[in-house]
Amino acid sequence: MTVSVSWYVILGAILFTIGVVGLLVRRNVLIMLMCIELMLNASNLTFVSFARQHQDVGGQADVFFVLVVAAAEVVVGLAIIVSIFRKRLGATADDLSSMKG
Amino acid sequence: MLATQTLTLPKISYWAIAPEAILVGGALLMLAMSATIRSKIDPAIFSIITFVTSLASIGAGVILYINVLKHGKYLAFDGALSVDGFGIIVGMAVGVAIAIFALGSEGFLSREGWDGPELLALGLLSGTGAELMAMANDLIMIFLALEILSIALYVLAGMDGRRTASGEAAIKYLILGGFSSAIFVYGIAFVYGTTGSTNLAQIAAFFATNLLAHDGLFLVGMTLILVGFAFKVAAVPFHVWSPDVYQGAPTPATSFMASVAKLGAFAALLRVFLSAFISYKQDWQPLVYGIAFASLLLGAFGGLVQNNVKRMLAYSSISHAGFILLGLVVGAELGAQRVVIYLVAYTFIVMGAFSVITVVGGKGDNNHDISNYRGLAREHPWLSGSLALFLMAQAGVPFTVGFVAKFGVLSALASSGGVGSYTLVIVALVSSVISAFYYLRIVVVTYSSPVGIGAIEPEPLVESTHVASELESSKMEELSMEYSALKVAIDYDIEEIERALDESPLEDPIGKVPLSSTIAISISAVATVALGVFPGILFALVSHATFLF
Repeated sequence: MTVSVSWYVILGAILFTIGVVGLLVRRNVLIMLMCIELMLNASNLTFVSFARQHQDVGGQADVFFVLVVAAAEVVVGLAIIVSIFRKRLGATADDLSSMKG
Repeated sequence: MLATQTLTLPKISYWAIAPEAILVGGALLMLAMSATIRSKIDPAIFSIITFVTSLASIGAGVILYINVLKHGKYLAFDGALSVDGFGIIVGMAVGVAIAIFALGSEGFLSREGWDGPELLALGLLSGTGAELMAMANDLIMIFLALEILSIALYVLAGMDGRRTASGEAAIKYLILGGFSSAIFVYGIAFVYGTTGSTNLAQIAAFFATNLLAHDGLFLVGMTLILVGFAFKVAAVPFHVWSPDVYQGAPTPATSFMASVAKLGAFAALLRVFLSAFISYKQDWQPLVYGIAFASLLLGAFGGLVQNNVKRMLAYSSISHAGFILLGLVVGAELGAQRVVIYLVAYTFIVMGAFSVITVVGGKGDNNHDISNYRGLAREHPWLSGSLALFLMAQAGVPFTVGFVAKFGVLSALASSGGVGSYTLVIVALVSSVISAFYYLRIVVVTYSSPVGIGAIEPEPLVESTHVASELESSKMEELSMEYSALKVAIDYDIEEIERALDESPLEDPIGKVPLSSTIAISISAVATVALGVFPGILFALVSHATFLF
C-alpha cells in the first residue's frame, strides 16, 4: 500500500480541524495559542505535500515564512499574556469579560 | 525526488519599496534614539519624527506614482510586489493616516505621561505592513505584510497598562487575529495546491489557460482566504472582536485599527479577488454579497444600542466595511476605483473623528461614554463642530467627502444592473439612514446643555407609604433616623458644592486642546469638506488606480 500525497493533505485537514475545535472549546488562553500554532502547522504540512505533488520548491519555501510568522506571533502573544495575567490569577478567557455590549 | 535547481536571485529594486523602507527607517531611528539618549525625550520630538517620516513616505509614493505614469506599471522582487497606481495610492492614504495619527497621539502621549517612542514606532511598523499589503502581488507576501500589520497592532491594543480593558482587548485581538491568519494561510495552501503557485499573476495566467476539472479544493481555499480577510476588515459574521477591541485599545491605537488596518486589508482583498480569482467571480460574488448585506444591516442596528462612543464607531466601521465590499461586488476596474475613493475618504473622516475622541477622552483615556459628550459645544464649540462634521461625513451628508464615497460605490453598483444589485443599493441606503441616527445622537448630545446641579431630579427616598407600612416599627425608626441624617448630609453637601462653585467654575475635563490635535483635526476637516465640494480631485486621482493584471 502506497502512501499518496492526499493522505498528508487529509492529515493536515484533521490537524487543522483539531486546532479550530480546540480554539473554540478550550477556555485557557495558552491552549488557545497552541491551537493557533496547530492550525498554522497543519497549513505547513499541506504546503509541503502540495509542493511534493507539484515537484516545486516554492511550496516548501513558503513553509519557512509561515514558521517565522508563527514564531513572531507566539513571542508577542506570550508577552501580552504574561503582562496581563501577572495581575490576575488564572489565564482563563472567561475572566476577560469587563467589556460587553 | 525534487530535481536540483539553481537559485537565481531576483533583481532588487529599492525604489519600489522606498515608501515602506522610509517608514521602517523612521521607526528604527526612534527606537535607537530612546535606547541611546539617556535624558528623557519629549514625546513631541517622536511625534515630529513620525510625522516627517510619513510625509517622506508619501513623497516617495508621489515619485513612484509619477514614474509609473511615465513608464508604466511593473513588477518588482520577482513578481512579489506589483508597482501600480492602485497600490501606490492606497499606500499614500496609509501615509496620510500615519501623519494624522502622529499628530493626534502627541497630545495623548504628553497627557498620559507616556514617554518612549513605542506607540509611534509600532504605528510606523504596522503602517509598513499596510503599505506592503497594498502592493503585494503574491499570497505569501500578502500574508507576511498582514502579519507585520497585525502583530504590531496586537501590542498597540494592549499598551495601556493601567486599564484592564486594554489588556483584554489585546488578548481578544491576538487570539482572533491569529485564528484568522491561520485560516488565511490554510486557504493559501489549498490555492497553491490547485494552481501550483502563490503568485497572483501566475494564478491568473493559470486560469486563463486551464480549467480545473475538480475545483472543490480551490473553492475551499478561496473561501478560507475570504474568511481570513473578512476577519481582518471586521465584516459580519466575523466582526465580533471589533467593538471590544475598539473600546479597550488606547484611542490612538483604535484610530490606527480603524484606518490603516482596513486600508491594507481591503487593498489586498480587492487585488486578490479582482486579479487572481476573477475567473471565479460567479462563485465568490454571492459570498461577498451576503457578507456585505449582513455588515450593512448589523453595522447600522448594532450601533443604535451602544452608549460608548468608541463602540459606536466600531459598528459604524462595520457598516463602512459593508459599503466597501459593495465595490468588490461591482468588480473589475470601476469597482476598484470606487473603493479607492471610499478608502481615501474614509481615512480622513475616521482619523478626524478619532482625533476628537482622543482629546475628549481626557486624562486616563476613560471618558468615552456618550454622557461625557454632553455640553461639549459650550466649552469647545470648535471641537464639537468638527466632530459633527466628521460624523455627518460618515453618515454620507452631501458636500462632505463621505457623500462622494458612498455615491461612488452605490452608483457603480446600480449601473452594474440586476435585481441583486438594486436590492443591495436599497439596503445600503436604508443602513445609511439608520446609522445616521446614532451619529446624530452624539451630535445632539454635544449641543445639549451640560449637566448642572439643577438638572438632577431628586429621587424619592421612600417610594410609597404602602411599602413603609409593611415595615416593622423598629425599622421605621431606624429608617427615619437615617433619613434625617441623610437630609442633613445632603443639605450640607449642596452648600459645600455651591460654595465650591462660586469659587471656581466646574472643571473642564478636557482642558486646553493640544496644538498638534488641533492641526490633526483641521487637516481632516479641511480634506473632508474640500474633497466633498470638489470630488473631481478624487476621481482624477483614481483614474490611474488600476491593477497591473
